[in-house]
Amino acid sequence: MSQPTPRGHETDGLEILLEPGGESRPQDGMTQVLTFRLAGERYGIPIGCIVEILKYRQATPIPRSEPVVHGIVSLRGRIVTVLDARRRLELHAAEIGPATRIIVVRDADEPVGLLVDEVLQVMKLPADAVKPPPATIRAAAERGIAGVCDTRQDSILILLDMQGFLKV
Amino acid sequence: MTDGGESLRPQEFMGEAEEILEALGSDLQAAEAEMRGGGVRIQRLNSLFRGMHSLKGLAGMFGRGDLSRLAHRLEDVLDRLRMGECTLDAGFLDLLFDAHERLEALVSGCAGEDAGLEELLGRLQAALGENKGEEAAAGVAGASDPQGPSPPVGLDAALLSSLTRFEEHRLRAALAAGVPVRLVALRLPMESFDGDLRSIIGSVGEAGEVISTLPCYQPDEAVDGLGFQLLVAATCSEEELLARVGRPARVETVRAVSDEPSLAPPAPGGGPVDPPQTSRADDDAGPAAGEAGGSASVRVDLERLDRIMNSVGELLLFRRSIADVARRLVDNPATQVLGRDLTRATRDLDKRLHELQRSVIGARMVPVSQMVGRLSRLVRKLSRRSGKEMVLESRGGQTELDKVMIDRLLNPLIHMVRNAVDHGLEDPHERRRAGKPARGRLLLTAAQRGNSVIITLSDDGRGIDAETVCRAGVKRGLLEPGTPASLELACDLIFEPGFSSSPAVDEVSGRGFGLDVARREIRALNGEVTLRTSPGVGTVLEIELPITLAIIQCMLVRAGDLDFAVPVAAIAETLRYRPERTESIATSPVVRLRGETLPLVDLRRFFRLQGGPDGPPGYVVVTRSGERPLALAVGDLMGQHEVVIKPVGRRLESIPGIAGATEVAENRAALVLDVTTLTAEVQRMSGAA
Repeated sequence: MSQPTPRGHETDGLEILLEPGGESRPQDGMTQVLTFRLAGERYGIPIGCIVEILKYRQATPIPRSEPVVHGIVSLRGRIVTVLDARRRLELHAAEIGPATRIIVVRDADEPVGLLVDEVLQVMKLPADAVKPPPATIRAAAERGIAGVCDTRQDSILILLDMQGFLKV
Repeated sequence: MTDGGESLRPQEFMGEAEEILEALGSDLQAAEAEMRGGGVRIQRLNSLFRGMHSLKGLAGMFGRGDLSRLAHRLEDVLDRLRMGECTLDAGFLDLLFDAHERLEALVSGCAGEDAGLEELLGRLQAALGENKGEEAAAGVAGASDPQGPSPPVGLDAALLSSLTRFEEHRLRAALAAGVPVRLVALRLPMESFDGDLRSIIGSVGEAGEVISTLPCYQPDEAVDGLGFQLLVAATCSEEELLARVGRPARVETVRAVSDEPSLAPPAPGGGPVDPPQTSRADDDAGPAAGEAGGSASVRVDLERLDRIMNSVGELLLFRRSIADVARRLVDNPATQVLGRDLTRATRDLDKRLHELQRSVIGARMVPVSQMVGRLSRLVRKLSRRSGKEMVLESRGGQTELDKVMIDRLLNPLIHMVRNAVDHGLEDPHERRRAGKPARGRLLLTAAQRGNSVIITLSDDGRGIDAETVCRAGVKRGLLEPGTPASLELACDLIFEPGFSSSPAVDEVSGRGFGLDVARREIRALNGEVTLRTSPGVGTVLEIELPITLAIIQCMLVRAGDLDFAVPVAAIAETLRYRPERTESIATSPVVRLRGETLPLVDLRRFFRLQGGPDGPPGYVVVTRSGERPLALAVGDLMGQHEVVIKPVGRRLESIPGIAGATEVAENRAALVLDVTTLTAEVQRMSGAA
């Protein structure tokens, strides 16, 4: 049902997982998602919106910004806002550790970084495996939660809708 | 979510299309002026035709169907105009202006539904239909016979067949009108022929018409250089013609009717040989050898320039760390000599880097005049719609500004022009009563002042009426009732969000887009806008902008454990922090400086920063935003640096006090302070307290 693919290789602190503009659309009814861990839970986002994955680097905090803003980093001459994905989902603020990564995603016309605890793998999911979020998840749509999927391994996978998730 | 496939790059299309549209626009305006002066020059119509042809090609290449259809129809229209098959009158010209506006909308992708397009295409078709070759009344100077059996011409058949349809038409028209036509043969040096040819065409063009410029081989002359033949229709003498050419040339006259029976029929393409020297397209839309050829410039994608700019910024960062190493070496007696050598070498590197930086900045600069065309077309349109007579004049159009600034300045200026037309300029009747000329005058000026560019837009209208504006301010709840009206207050009010003294939203300046938006956009460019008005005499809006957004001199300061860059342009002075000089007025801290009392803000407290050493601030940086001073208490001063200022992204750009970010060390960003919004926020906070 799911097919783990090898992790991206690492090049001087920069972990390249995908070629830019890589395959993003579901093929034969399959959706490819990148999974990662946030406060012990498993989340997934479509790989089509991912620009690159960075090892954590010291971000400059932005005074007087929303709590969800972790800070800014400079990425090859461009300033990228990094959002704390945990805060966005109303979990505790992130704790930076050796596995912490910044997933840079495309948002409208500028890249945005998402701070996550650990990047797991890329998975293929049949489109019909994704179920609407159970009613017990509070304010799912507002937090950008698109659905859930039982992958029969590890904990349940929570899929994020990037458009809704980045609406902050 | 996003499709990975990349089609043809839209910015290439935009850049080129905008350039063509700009040229078309200024040609249309020139045509209008020429029409008033007696007749539209045929070169003008030809240049319009060429531009339209290029636009059509471009639109086709990028699959812009509507644009291509409209450009195609316009190309047909312009072709008939330049061939003298129909005539250009004021109504027709209006139609062309409308069409130009439509083209602009189609290019920028903000055209609405295409219902209007069909209507426009129909109007163009109709204009062609009802307007057929009345040559006598032609607005075109020297228009001539429509197509038909044309008499043979005393010109070598090979040469004749290499003329385009249009050139042949011009040749026959000149001959029919009895204007002497001469073929001028000359040689030009290889290395400078394009410039030479341009200046010769310019000088000969003043005396007549250069119908065609044909390169040719003259193998008998073993000299270096390229041979050219100019086909010239001019009433002047052969001597004058030669004087205008200004170099040795052979002149022969072309007769109207051939007396040499051996000539081939003159139909284009009917010539026996295709002359090797003229590998020209079947129409003359491509630049003719003499005219557009050899412009020594290339179009560069702004993004590429940005990348170069980023690299230069990074080099400047490296320079800083090398200078640090050099300093450390000098400080150590054992390595002092080495350190001095390194310092010297660094200084040389410095000089080169600054040269490089200046050139890169220079490459981004374009003249302000790029905007003038758009604005004067707008004024023309507004004048028609509002029934007010007016004209836009401009001075200092050669002043240069960063391309990005020019692009982003256009919208605020459009709004300011609309505002001046709508609220400032009176109708002709009222103007006459006030003893002013019926035609209102808008003046756009640009000038460089130090590292800034000052752009002003003034009108000679009625000025701002303090009473009316303040009354409107009270009505909108922006002003406490009973506040005495003053001009100063009125000038502030009209920049307030949501302020509009016009009772109805109209097509000219309505749409809820106020001067506040214009000001916000200008401030986003690190600029400031101020307004002066004199009742009955007029209003001046003055915009001050840094020449380039890309690099600014900044003082790096530390507050808490964060570094901030303060633009040096906003700094009046820096001093050591002395507790005895600070006091507080109604709990607001102030600092006294040479008799002036300045509001004092601890940057660490303003930004609610936690980290860094405790204890009193070390320094005070006095900044000025407009006339308003502010004393910023900071922990430490880290020296002046040139920084490449970058946008922080849309989530953070509205935080007061932050203009952008810059890279201070590899992968580390520092925030650049925006003194204007910082000052405003401090005032707001102390007002609220």
